Amino acid sequence: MASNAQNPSGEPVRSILIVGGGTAGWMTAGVLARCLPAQLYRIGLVETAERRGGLAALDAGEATLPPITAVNQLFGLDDAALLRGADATYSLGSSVTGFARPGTSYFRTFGRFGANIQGVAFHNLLERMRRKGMTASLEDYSIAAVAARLGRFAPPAAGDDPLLTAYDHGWHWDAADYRALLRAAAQHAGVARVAGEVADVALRGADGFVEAVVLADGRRLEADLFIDCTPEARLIEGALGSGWEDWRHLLPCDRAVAARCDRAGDPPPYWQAEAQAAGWRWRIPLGESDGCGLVYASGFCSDDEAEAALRASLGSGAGTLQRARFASGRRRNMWIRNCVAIGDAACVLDPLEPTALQIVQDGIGTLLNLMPRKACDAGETDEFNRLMGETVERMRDFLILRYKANARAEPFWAERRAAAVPDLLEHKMRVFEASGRVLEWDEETFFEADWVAVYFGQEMRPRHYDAFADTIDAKLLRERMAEMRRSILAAAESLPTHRAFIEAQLRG
Amino acid sequence: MADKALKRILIVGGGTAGWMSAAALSKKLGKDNVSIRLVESSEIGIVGVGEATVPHIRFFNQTLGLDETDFMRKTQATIKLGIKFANWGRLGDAYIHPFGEFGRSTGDVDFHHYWLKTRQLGNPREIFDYSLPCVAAERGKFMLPRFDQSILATYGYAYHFDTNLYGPYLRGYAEARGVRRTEGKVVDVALNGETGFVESVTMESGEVIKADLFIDCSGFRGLIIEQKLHAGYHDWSNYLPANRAVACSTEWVGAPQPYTSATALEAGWQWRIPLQHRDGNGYVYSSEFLSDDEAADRFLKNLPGKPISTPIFLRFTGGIRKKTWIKNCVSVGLAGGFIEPLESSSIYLTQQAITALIENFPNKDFEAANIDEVNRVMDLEYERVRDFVTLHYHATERDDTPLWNYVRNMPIPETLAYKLRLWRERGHVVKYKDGMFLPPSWHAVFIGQRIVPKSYDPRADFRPVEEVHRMMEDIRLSVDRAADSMPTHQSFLNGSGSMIPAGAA
Repeated sequence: MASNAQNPSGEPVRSILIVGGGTAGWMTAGVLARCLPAQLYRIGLVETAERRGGLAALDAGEATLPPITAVNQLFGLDDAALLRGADATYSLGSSVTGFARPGTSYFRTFGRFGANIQGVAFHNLLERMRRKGMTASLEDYSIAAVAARLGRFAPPAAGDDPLLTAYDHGWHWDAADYRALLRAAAQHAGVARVAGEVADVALRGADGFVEAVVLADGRRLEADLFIDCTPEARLIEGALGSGWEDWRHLLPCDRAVAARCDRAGDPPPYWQAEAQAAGWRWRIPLGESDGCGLVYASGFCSDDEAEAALRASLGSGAGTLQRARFASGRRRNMWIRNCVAIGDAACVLDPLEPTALQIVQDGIGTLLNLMPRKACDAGETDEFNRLMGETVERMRDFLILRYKANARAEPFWAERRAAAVPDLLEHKMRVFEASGRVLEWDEETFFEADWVAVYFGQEMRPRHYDAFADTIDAKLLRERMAEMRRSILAAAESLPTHRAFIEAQLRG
Repeated sequence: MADKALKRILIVGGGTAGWMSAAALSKKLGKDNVSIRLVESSEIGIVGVGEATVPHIRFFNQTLGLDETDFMRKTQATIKLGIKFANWGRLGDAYIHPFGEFGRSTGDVDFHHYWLKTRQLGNPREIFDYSLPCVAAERGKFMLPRFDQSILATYGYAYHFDTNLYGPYLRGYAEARGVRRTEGKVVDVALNGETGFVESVTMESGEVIKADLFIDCSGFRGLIIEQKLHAGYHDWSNYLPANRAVACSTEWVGAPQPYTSATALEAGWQWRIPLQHRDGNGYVYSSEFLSDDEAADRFLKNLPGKPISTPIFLRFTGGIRKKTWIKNCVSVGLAGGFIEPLESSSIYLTQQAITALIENFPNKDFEAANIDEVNRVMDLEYERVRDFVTLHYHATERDDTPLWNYVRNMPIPETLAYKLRLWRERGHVVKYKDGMFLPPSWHAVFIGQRIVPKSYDPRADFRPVEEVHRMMEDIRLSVDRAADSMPTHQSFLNGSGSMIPAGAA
């Protein structure tokens, strides 16, 4: 191997220490151990016992976005392993109730709507026909949404009709169980685990690089590259003083109270989000029970009120209440010198979309693509900070839309409606409101169909639709749309129920 | 909403931009829904001395449903696999910026990192030896690319064609779809006193033509967008010092090369664009550093063949209209901005303006959000082309003339400085979603102009070095064999029926 001190490219990183034993830490360690050859890299993880606050500490179900599948494959976790080992169920997305105004509900599923005709986006065709009196809803043209409504599930079948196959799925699972699966798989992949508490972070005098993490028992762990996966950002903030950009003026929810509760009946293939007076409630279906919680803004709702509201909604089958505090925001610099923050140490977002694991996954992927040499001086820190900064800001904007576009009466919601939104989101909303067009920036996690679902679901109607929709013959359009609806319904009805699909997977 | 639909569109100017707009809109809107008119004056010439394009033009032609062979025959088109840049990094250097990849997908790290690694270990081969479009272009070969996993799927292509013929070709297409052409000069443009919207243009004949939407394709002068709506202009001369060109056609001197030549000279560069039966040539230069007479003298001595047209002189200023779209007037083509032709971006930017207009197509409300969006997107497109062209000048070791001393030391846009730094330090190309140039284009110019990164992606060390050498050599040999097996460019043109038989032109 051409890897020695004489390497004209600079000395390569040979040891990486991940600090923090949560899902972020184990996912990072495991992926690095799988992707970096063991003969070249030593990967270690300091597993800290204490778990301070934060949403990740709650034991009330965890939902994911579809790309998590890539991580599971890398770890060798197949469906049966997740269903058995993490009490998992499948997720087509979420149902979103009451966010637009009381009494409204829509599906925010991981799938496209209809088929474009002559280059015109389907939602613009629908908008045209709705103005001509057609009553069908957007969801009738999404196999994922129709399947969710019917409680049916199967992954997309092989086939070339995008109308019936253009959807994806994520997961609902027990967060602690999933963490345990990752932990075992990561150790199996060669991650060296050290249990202990971080007492100090030693910086090199000459250049301020992290030299070692010093544990409470005096052990000193050196590495070339450190990854901060601690919820409290022990390295990137505690030792390197990155700074935190607070987003509570954009996403004010900052508390959660949660519990496990019994479920009567089959698990739906989606999780539920329902707007409340000063926040919203979730219900995530796991194999054996549901994880439930209430996310709220402390400025509008006391802890006692929130607890009472959650208890009232759960009834008798609820377990012990757990509480968490959090604040949406991002680390100003997610990579400083030889220290990279991944997960909550880098960014925390309101859990209205299951972005927490996605942020971890994006952090790992971006780090791999920018794998540094020891000196970390080749521009990778700036590029990582730029890419991850844009990534989390675009996620944030997608969440803000659901708070902004509401017609609810409570003070919390009235304030959200009036609040200013970031410039890029504002431009995006203006263009949609003017013409039904969905813009996508660089580094988006959520694409046209995701935005369309929320725009329509939040009852934002564009003033005009794509002018070219009018160039399509109305009769042809009516027929094509009716045909789409029929074939989607037939395909969705032919899927097994979610429970039946899970049972079939467990039987193997 | 149908009552808010535009009923009348007027395109002012009939060069390439005007007829491309007319063709695209007539195809997209159909003749029943809207009346499209185009006014042009045959007295006002167009800038037509052979035109080089980029592969996006094929998508434009396909969208119109044009037959490729017919199009090539009627516009004297030849194939373009890339641009050969000579004397840019240093006097005596030459490289090809190809329409295609270097090497092929390795399944992990981008190919150029492997090349950088083996180069540090003594591999004497240039990265261009691993690029099929580069090797095929050098050997004068061409065949249509495949859409499979083979090396024959690692390139694209564009055309050189005669712009004096492309406009008329599209004219036939547009007129067949209902576009009405009116010959004559525009002598006046009338604005609505209240709204400031354009109401009509008055022709020399006295005819007053009203419309809902005006597309300004009048060229550099911006007859409506600038002269009437006073858009203003972002002048980028500080980054793009060339502001003149002298051009003429020359006699056929041999089989056409399947690439454009761009040869750096003392105060600019000279193009050679091979058409089927002649070559288009021009010298792009900066008046700060060279007089017109000196330029013409140098140019004429440098021609590859006997001139068959009188040299014409052009003046321009690199930059973009401060607003591409104001009220009910959109500027397309040279009326919207101009980046010197070093990377054949002119027709591409015309095409992007038309695409942006279609994607944000207005109705009578002329929503501000859509206008803002078109202006934003076009600013981005122009800035990204500007940065790429600026790189060609800036990335030089030449110090033999004042022009090269200026560009080597000039301040460059921050966006470009950032890209340069990431490349220089670790061979990383900063990617973006919208914009003309994909990473291989950046690789070509960076490496071709001697900016070789200090380090490569450490993941290129993951495979045993012998395996890397073997993989590289396999790719090089497959490139070599594939280029060998291709017909010559000339026989491709003959065999495909794209060629007008000699004497019939």
